[in-house]
Parts: sequence; C-alpha cells; structure tokens
Amino acid sequence: MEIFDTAADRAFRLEVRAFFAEHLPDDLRRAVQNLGNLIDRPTLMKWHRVLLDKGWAGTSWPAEYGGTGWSLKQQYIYEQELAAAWGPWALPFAFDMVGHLLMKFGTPAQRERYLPKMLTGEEWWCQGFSEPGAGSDLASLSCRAERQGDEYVINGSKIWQTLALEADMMFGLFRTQRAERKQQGISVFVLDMKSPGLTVQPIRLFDGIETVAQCFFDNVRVPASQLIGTENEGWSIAKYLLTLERLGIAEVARSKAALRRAEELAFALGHQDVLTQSKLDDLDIEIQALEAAEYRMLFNPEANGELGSEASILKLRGSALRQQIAEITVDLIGLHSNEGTGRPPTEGLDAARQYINLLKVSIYGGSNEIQRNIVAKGVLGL
Amino acid sequence: MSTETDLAFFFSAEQLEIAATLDRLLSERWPLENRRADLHPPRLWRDLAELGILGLPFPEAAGGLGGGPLDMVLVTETLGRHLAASPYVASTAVVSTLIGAADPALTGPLMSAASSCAVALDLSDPHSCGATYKQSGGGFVIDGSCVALFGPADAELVLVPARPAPTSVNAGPARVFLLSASRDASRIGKARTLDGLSSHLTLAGVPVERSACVGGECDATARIAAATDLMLLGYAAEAVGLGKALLQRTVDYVKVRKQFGVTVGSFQAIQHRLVEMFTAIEIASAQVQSTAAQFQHATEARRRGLAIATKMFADEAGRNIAREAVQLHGGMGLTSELDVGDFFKRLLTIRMIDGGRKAQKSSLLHLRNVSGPVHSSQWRGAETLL
Repeated sequence: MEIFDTAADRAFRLEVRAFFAEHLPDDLRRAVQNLGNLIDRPTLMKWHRVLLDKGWAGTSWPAEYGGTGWSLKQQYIYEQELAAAWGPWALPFAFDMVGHLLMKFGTPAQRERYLPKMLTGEEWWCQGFSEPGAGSDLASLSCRAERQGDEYVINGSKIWQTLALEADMMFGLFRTQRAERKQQGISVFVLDMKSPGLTVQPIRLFDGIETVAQCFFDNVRVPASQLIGTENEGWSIAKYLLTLERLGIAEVARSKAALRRAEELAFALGHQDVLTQSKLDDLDIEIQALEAAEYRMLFNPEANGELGSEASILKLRGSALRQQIAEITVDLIGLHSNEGTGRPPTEGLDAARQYINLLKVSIYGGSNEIQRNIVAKGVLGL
Repeated sequence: MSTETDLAFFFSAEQLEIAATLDRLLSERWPLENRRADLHPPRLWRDLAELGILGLPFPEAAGGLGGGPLDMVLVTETLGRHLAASPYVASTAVVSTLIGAADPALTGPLMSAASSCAVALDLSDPHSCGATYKQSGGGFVIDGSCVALFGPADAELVLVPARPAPTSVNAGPARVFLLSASRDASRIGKARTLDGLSSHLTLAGVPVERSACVGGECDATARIAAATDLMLLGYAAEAVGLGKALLQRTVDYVKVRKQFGVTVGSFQAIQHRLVEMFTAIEIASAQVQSTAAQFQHATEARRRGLAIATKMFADEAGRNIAREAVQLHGGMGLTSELDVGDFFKRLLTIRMIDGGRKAQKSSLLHLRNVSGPVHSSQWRGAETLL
C-alpha cells in the first residue's frame, strides 16, 4: 500500500530501503530466497548485529527497552521493505511475543533480567504451548507445575517447539491448578532450556528437517521468581499473545516477493502460456485485495490499531496464499524442485522443501479451523 | 503528519454520515419487501435527489457536490445492500465523466431527478464502442447493435459513445452523443436483462444534430475509457453491497432455522461456510475501497487493470456468496417468497455485464502483454504510480 504513504512515511520507507540495499548481504538474500526461514543461527546473528548497530533490532519495542519506538505504520513499512529485499525474519519469539509479554506482565526485575539479552540476541527463545493432548484445544493443557517452597516443579511434555534445540530459554503455559473451567489454573513461566530434567527430542518432519521438537519435563525445577503475571491467570496472557501477531499474521509482503520470484521463474523457464499467466494474475489480484484488507484493519482510524476477531481472516487467506504461491513455484520448476535446476535462475532453490515447510502456516498459531471458529463466534455471532 | 498530496484510503466522518443517512432512508422509507415489483420507483429517485445523493458525483461547477470515486463506492455499496443501486452509477458518475466539461443545463435536471440519463457502454473494451457514427448533412447518423444500456430503462436521455463507421469517408475521433429516447423511440430498440434492470439497446440509423455531440468536438477516447472503468468499479461496489446483504440474511436465517432440535447455525460445517462467505466479501470490499482511493491517481493502464481485477474479484465473491446463500436457506432459498433470488439474479447479471470471467482474464492478459513480458507492473506495482 505504498501509494497511501504520507510524505513522512515515504521518507521513512526510502531510508529503510536504502539501508537494506547497502547492508543486507547478497548471500543472505539468496539464502532467504532459496531456503525461506531455514537460516542457521550464526548467519542470522551476523545480520542481527548489523541491525543492533543501527538501532533497529527491536522494531516493535518502545525506546525505553532499547527498541526503535516506531509507530505501527513504521513497523508495517519496515516489514514490507524487509520482505521485498528478501531480508530474514527477526529472531523468532523474542521480539514479537515474549518481549511484549514481559513488558506488559513482567516485574521490573524480570524485564531487567531477560529483555537486554533478548535484544542483543544473546539468548534465543522458544515457546511452550502445545502438548500431545492439547493442540487446538490448548486450554486443556496438562503439563503440571507444582509449587514446592520457592520453586515450581514441572512434569509432563510440550510439543512442536520450533528451534527448541537452539533456544536458551522457553516461555510456556503450565497447569498450576485443576479447576472446573479448564482456562482457569494455567500459569506462564520462563525457564532455562538447560534445566536438569528437561530433555529435548527433535521431531523429523517429512521434508527431512528437524526444526521442531518435543520437550519432556522430569521434575524440572523453576524458581518461583520466573512466574510471569498472576498464578492461575495465565490464560488471559495467552490470549494477549495472540493479539500481538498483528503485522505478521497475513505475511502479504512475503507473498508479494514470492510471487515476483515465481513470475521471474515463469519467464526464465519459458512458461509464457496463457494458463500459467492467468494463474499468476489470479494470485496477484488475491494479494492486492488481501493487502487492502490488511491495511484497512491495521490503520482504520476508528479501531486505534486494535484488531478484533475479524483479523482471523487475514491468517486464513494469508496462509492459503503463501501455500498457493509455493505450489505454483514447484509446478513451474517441475521435477527438479528439490534442488532447483542446478543452473540459473533456480540454482540452489529448494522450492519443494519451501512448499512443504509452508504447510505449517495453516496449522500453527491457531489452525485455520480454529480461526474459522473465532470468526463464526466473534464476528457472525454463531 | 499528512500533506495535501496524501491519498486518502479511509472514508471521512462526513462520507460515513452520508452513507448512514442513506441507509436509514432506505430501511425506513423504502424497505425491499415493498419494492420487489418495482425496485426503482420514481419517488425513491426523487428522495435520493433531495438527499443530495444524485448530485454527489457531479462537479461543483455543474452544481454538484464534487464527490470522487470513494464517495461513489460507499454510496453504491449502501444502495446495493438494499438492492437499489442499479441505475445509480451509470446515471450520475458515469454520465458526469462522459460529458467531461460542466454542463449545468444538462446535469441540473439529472441531479434534481427531473430528468434521467442512461449510458451505452461496452464494458469489456472501452476502445470498442458498440455504436458507430457517419457524417450526414450537417449532423450525424448513429448505428449500433446489442450495445449494453446502463441506467434507468425508461431514461429520457441516452449517452452513446461512438466511433466513426469503418466505411466512413471522413473518419473522425471517438465522440459521445446525447440522444432523446422519446424522440428517437422508433429507431431505438430495448430489451431487459435477467434481473429486469439493465437493458440491451439497438440503434438503427438514428439521425442527430451536430449539437448532440457532447463534451466538444475533441476526441472522447479518454473520457470513454474513464467512464468504462468507473462503471466497472461501481458494479464491483454494488456486488459487495449485494453480497453483504445476502450474508446477513443467511446468518440471520441459520440462527432461527431449527433441525434435529437445534439451530442449523450451531453446526460447525455451516459456520465455516459462512466464515468463507464473510472472508470473501470483506476482502472484496477492502479491494473496492483501495481501488477507489487510487483511481484518479493511476495511469490509464493501471486504472484499467485495477478496475477489471476489482470487478472480477467482487464477481467471484458475489457468485460464491449467492450460491451459498441459496444452499444454506435450503428449499426456501429457491422460492420467490424470499428475496434471496432477487439478489442472486442481480449478482449473476453483474457478473455477465462485462463479458464475465473469460473476457476479464483476456483483458488482463492483454494488459500484461502490452506492459512487458515478465512483469505486468505497468498496471500492478504501486511504484509505477508515483
């Protein structure tokens, strides 16, 4: 929605664009193009330090915690430009989730302890929400944290932790009380991934990659000072987390960049037929429309930046679009999708793996079926 | 911080107030159940004139309110929700665009509902007018077959864009002619479309004076293209309004209709289908708003691409919603007792009005080819707009 930039927006956009043009290394761009978000930690950290030096590490954080203090519009523009330049995603979980969670619910001591190392990227984070028996029905989680003196003792299991093997810290939801309402009795803790009794077992997905894991807790002891917010009232914190995903929820800018890439491939590989072009047009129109819907929800002056249940449609359509674009990219390249054609322009492009990797986006963060339930209840009153 | 050059995406409080007033007027004075035999009674048209709705799209120099595409889509969507939009865009915004220069003598009676005007456009291609003209004596003779006519079927005036006949000795520019429906009745043939609102028009050697050529003698190609794109956008806005109304009716229905001892709206299978309907119409509505906001600032190719894409997207949403609305109403949805079918037929007509999906896709592919083999960014990327 660049056309709706104000003069100030435009100046900011050009500043961001120029910064990426100068500082984003070509090999990193290519890695993001070819591998998506499967970038290794040293490479990501190198880029993170560039952002840190510039003062752009915490794009959604207020200045008092070392963030940029940017407005929602500035964050939106930054994300658009980052995606267009094929820059990597920010370090996961830290900035958009647990950081804000601590700012809102954490004690001064907790903020002091965790936020600075989050900002520098010294400590990586993972989430601990889902369990083998609690996926879409998250509130039925049963991994237990029992108070013993100044500690809580955790027993049970968490599953689908992205980057659990890399992460230094986890923030998660644990059962501290059995109550009649399953939403009652849940508490939020942060804990060290090197805690004794905590075992991380990678899960091999069918694309051959082990980026998610299952975590087993066997009498893992967590100091009571690492409880976030009020004991047993963690469900409201969990719901707050969902509202933080405003900007990333539709990933329109990423889809745009991916579609441009597909268009270039179609041309380079000689797919100039009407059927292909027509499919690309359909996707392009979908993106433009979704972008308009996202813009309208984010910047509606009456909504004040707050998103309601209707925002779930951004995730519904956004995730479907990302998958459709990945699909058409695989179709365009054909049998060599797993390794590109071995020559330009698809050299090193792992389109098949990217496609398989994107199957998760309609499952995580509240599956699309759950998103539809949210809209049915919250918007349509059903 | 905003500057004068900033483009407005959002409706102003004033614009929203006008739409709310219009909505109240239609709900209170013109409920659909009283209008089903005649969707556009002359008194409704006069009420719209009194409210200033008819004058909204006309330039201030012509006594209008100088509204732009954003005003137009907001009002049209509102009218569409009440199944009252049909002649509006054609008779106001499109007429104003086709005329070009302010002509109070012509537009005054239109804004006060003392007169009405329809337009004959080929929405599938602004460069192929259905009508042609030949010089004849001091004036012209106009011919054309199967030109679609938009606006009130009984309009006194008809604006007809025309190109010189291929056999014409002195080929001239594209022109826009103003015909009198009553005076030329014997040479103008009309037929109603499926929804009973739009008409087809055939012109058989209609003689006109030189003065019937409106907007001056200069080439009208740009005006015709702008009017055509505006018409497409108007239909997209109407389709969104129709879709929203159908969604609301369907949601209301599943909340009261009981089967197996419960309301059918309590079934997840039904809920998820309604959410798909909501998603489709919400996104189409945002796309209409976005296109309207960019309309006057886009290059001609970009504007054309946006107009076609927006209408195509709204058509698709409209068709899916229309089909699902009937299905979720069950057998009742097929009866003429309910008005679901009225909306269905209107949406179906709108979809066909510019040649449907096939014509839309060929137009987009054409734009793509014109603007370069790799990217069709000529009509796509915002970077080409500034």
